[in-house]
Amino acid sequence: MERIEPPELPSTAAAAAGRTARDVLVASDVVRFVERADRLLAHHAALLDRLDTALGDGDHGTNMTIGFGAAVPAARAALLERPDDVGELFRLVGHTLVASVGGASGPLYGTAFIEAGFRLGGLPAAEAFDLAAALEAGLAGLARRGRCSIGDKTIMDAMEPAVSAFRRSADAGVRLDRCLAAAAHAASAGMRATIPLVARRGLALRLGERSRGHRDPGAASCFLLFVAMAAPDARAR
Amino acid sequence: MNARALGAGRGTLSPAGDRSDAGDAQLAVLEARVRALEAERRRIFEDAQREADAVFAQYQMSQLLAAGGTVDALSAAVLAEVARTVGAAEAAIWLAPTGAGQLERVATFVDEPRPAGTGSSAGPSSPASFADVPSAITWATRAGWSGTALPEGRTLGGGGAGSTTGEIGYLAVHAPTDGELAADHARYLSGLRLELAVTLRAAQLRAWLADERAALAAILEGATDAIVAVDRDRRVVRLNAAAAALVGSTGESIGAACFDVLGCTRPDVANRRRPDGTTNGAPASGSLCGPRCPFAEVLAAGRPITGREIEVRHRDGTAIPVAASVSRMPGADGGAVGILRDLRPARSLEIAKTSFVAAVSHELRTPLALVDGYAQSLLHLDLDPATARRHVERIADAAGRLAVLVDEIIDVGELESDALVLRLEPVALDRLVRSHLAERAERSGSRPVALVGPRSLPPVEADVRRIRHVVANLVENAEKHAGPEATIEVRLRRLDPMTVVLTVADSGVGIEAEDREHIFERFYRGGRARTAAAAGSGLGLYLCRRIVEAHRGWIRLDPTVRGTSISVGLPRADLPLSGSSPAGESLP
Repeated sequence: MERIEPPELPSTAAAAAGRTARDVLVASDVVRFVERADRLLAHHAALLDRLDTALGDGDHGTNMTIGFGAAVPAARAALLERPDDVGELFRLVGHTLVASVGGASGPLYGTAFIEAGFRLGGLPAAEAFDLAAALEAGLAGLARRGRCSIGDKTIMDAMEPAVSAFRRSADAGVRLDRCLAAAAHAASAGMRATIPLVARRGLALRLGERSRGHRDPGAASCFLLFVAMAAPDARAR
Repeated sequence: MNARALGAGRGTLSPAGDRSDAGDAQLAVLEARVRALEAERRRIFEDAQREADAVFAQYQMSQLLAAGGTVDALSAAVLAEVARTVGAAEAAIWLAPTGAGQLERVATFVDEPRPAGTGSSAGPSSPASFADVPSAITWATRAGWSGTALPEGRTLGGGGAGSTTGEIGYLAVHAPTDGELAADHARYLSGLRLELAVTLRAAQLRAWLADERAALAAILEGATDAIVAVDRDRRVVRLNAAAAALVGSTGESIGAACFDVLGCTRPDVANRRRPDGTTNGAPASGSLCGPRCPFAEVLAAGRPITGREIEVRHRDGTAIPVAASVSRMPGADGGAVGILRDLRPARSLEIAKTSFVAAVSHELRTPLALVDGYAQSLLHLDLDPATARRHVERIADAAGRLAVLVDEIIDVGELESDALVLRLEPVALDRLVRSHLAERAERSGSRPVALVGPRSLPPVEADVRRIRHVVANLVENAEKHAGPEATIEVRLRRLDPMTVVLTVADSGVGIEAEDREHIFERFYRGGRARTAAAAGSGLGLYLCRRIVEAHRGWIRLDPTVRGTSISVGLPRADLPLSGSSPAGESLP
């Protein structure tokens, strides 16, 4: 089976090398996150499409690449207008995703970003605690919109463990970058855990038992987004 | 902890320096207004999200419906989606299999028992069928389910007048609480009913079409006549197994010109039609691709052609006379479909019949001439009593031969009408053969025939009279055709626990290779038999085969031995009637 190779995570190599880590997330970080997500998704678009071919209509990678390709300029423009509002950036990215990602994943990811952004509204910088609440709001929005729960073989199966891990780390007073790393690791495990599941949501519903044995493409893209969020910014170094 | 402490929350304003009472009051008012605005913003946001949720739910359902699939897969997926959206613990869809009348349940959804343990569902609790939609509604109302009838799509409505307002099915859900659906959920259900009905109906129609196609393909493939369909340019679009076998096609025929496939323009065929329309001596009817080509004619004129005799050619060059019936296929750009019946079997039967008539006439005439001759001499000559008696005996002999011949002809007629009635009983073959051979031995001029076999054999299930006829016929054939020096032997043995085999073998000239596969056919007389002095109607072995097959046995010629060896396998009497062992197989 093809593997999604996670880039170096700050909790491992980067942190061990003593690189500086940051404790807050500001608007420019969101832009850089979107840029990384765009590159990462484009790099894995073919794989995501292949995963989606088994379960859906085979365009998840293409759709996500198109969506984040549109989100990058939107986020950069928003940064110029509202450099002091993290929430506004998340919200704008969310709206761009809803409008430009084809299929169900656009509205689902879009909702998560919009709900998270609404929670972070007005904040010039988000601490781990703020981001935990925002991620939880995003997760709740995605679950509500998709009417999905854990074990349905969806985005949520990667996102829920990631958000929980983030929350546990934040509550334990762990630094933001390490919280994000923990979330990315949990998302990876969640993604792999979708392989034996029978799909209970989305187009894969039609397959019934035949949906077993495949990684859910939504869970895979969700993992990539958490990797993009956790990875150290290359240009910052 | 974090070095930078930021504003703890939204909706509060940071205190700013000294404040007067008036300032305090103003600030309080402003704070209240900000809070109200925040609340309003929150409400508008949540309303918008709820609306977006509803739109997204519809979108997801549309995606599912647009993705298609079989009725079963589609229904199951739709039910899971609906149940999730309205929070139902159970759901089901019933459809009228033919688009009307009785409803059959095509899919159910039962929510898996959650760890919390709300349901102990052992399966669907809904009925498997309803007489019609109204009775489904009645049941749902009583059972506390909520449902929606699926209307028949107007453009998809089949059947007669008045059927376009009908309903093709029913979808019902059972909410885990009291069965009453929330208003927006009821709206959701009712909103999806038309799209769902159209989609399910289309899936039904697709399934019917697929079944129909499979059935037609089976008929087409199973047909013993060759069937060839061509498009307007006379390119073969379809040919069945019989057609492929007729012309020796190996599968590359689809898309090829019909005259190439049917062998009308094969370069290796001598009488290929030349561009100027002439052929090198072959009759015009020998070329399909000429003025008599029924495909070209039907495509041009549109009128069907029935039973036109033409000739096609196998890949190996063999010309095959066929009766072609060709008609136009329906549709705007329809081609033509032809049924080609191989005329060779009918022709060879005709030939066989003709020669049978000749043989029978000859056979009848010989004894009749004898009867006539001896009767004339009895009438007109003054014969001594001994001579007269001899003459009468000859007359009786000849009459006996006539009777046998007539019996055979009658038997064949009986077999042709499938009226061969057997009186089956356990028969000891060795005793039957021995008694027949003893009877023969008493007759003058008959050759000795040896019987070889084990001391005891299980009895066979047989009609004594018929099997005796078979034995007599085989022995007589051997005597007639094997030549004066040949020895004749009857062998009996057990082939396997279920079958006893009787073999009549001679050391004579044998049967010519080209005749071997035909000797059990009606009216067939081998090359040697035809020219030999020996009499025969060509019915004997055919009768034997039919009698043996009626016994669920088999008869075959052993081609490997010198001389002629014909074996008959018959099922044992004391075994269940499960048929005898197939030819060529034996158990250790």
